[in-house]
Amino acid sequence: MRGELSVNICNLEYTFRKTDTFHLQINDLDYSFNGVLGMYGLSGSGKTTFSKLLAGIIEPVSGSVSFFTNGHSAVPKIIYSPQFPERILLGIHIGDTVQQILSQNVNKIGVYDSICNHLQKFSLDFNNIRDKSGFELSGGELRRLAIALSLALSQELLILDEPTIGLGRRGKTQLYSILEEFRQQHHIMIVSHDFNLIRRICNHYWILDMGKLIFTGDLNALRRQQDIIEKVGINSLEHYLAATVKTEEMETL
Amino acid sequence: MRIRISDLDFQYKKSLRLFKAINLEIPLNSLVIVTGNSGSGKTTLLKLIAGLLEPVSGRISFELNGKSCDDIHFGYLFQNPDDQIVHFNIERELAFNLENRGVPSAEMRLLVENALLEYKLVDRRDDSPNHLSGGEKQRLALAGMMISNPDILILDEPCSFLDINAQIQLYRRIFELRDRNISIIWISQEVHEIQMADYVIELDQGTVTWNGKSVDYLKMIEDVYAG
Repeated sequence: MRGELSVNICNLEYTFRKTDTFHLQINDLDYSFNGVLGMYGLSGSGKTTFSKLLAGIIEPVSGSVSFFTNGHSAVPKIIYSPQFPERILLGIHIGDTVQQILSQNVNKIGVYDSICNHLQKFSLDFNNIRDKSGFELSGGELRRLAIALSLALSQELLILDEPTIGLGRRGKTQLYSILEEFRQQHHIMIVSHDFNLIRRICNHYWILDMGKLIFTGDLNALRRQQDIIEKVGINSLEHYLAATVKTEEMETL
Repeated sequence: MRIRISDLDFQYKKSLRLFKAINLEIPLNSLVIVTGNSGSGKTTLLKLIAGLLEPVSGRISFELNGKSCDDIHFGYLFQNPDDQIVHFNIERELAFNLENRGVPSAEMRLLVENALLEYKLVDRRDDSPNHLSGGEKQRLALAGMMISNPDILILDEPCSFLDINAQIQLYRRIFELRDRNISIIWISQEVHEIQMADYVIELDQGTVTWNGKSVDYLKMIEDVYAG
């Protein structure tokens, strides 16, 4: 079962030193993980930067991110599944890399079974890809492999950055059901520009806009804030499609 | 324009055969979508058509007004614009394609100016592409393709990395290009994008499972889901 986990964010600031156009600033935030957290925002809003700060992959310019379990300060094991898995997986030999990952793990058999099992739920057979190199896999296959590895290695918190890119209809449906099961045991955070995904899987949302957190809450709270829905374009695709192509009625907020 | 594929075989080194004796005709006088699950061969097929991959055997030929033509010029827009942007300066990036094609410098300057205007990049001309947002980068990549006036434009799931606003902007551009009679083949797995197209090719594990009008395809998948 997943343990209790909460995070406190205090005056967090981040800028890319070369370009001062982007500035992430999260003043004060307390959140207790419960279910699946979704982070949404338009591109350039700071989603990936914020999630890397949470995962401890990058250091803030100032401020702090602190985790707690049962009231005590903690350093949880966080797995961050990157937005561009192809940048890591493209040139590598799949079987060798999985071996390497397993060699760093105490529970080799458990992790190996879990990788195979998750790949299977994504209609991928590990035996069919183990002898290939990354560039012989399609974009969707690389994405599914990266997600399966992340799920197998996940311990306390799993962050999936844009997990649906390249997945298609079938892959998305498979991902939904995998996460539905996975959320019972693990804390998950999903980062995406696809609001339909966030809405489908997550029960609590953080919305970023130009480096600022402009909303935290659930779907009902969001429905009451039409100005925010408008600002971050949550219903725009549905409105655009209704005006251009004859579509079946799509659900809006 | 029409693409005729006959007895096409293809496989990646050491992998199982992906395409075996594929025969396919694609009419290009409308917006064509190539769809299918991940790993079905969509990108491979389009790379073969564009000549970025060589078939093991078989033939891909092009017909314009009933006559065969060999010298087809392609524009290929990748999923991730970072995969095709090479310069550290937007103006140079736009000129890159033309430089490679040996366009005289006076003509090149004119074409770059027009593209900067058309794709709303004038104010950013001296900027680095790294300072652009995802949507702006995809716009720059599209401008870089369109500047050399391709006969066929291939879009490989170009909206994957785009947020909603950038997606809608790209849809508008695609419709504009279609209305200018540019042949477009668009890889997509999204139902709402298939609804925007006229013609659909569906692949499943290297075989063609649909080749026909998009309205009929949509009706078919609706029936499958309903049944």
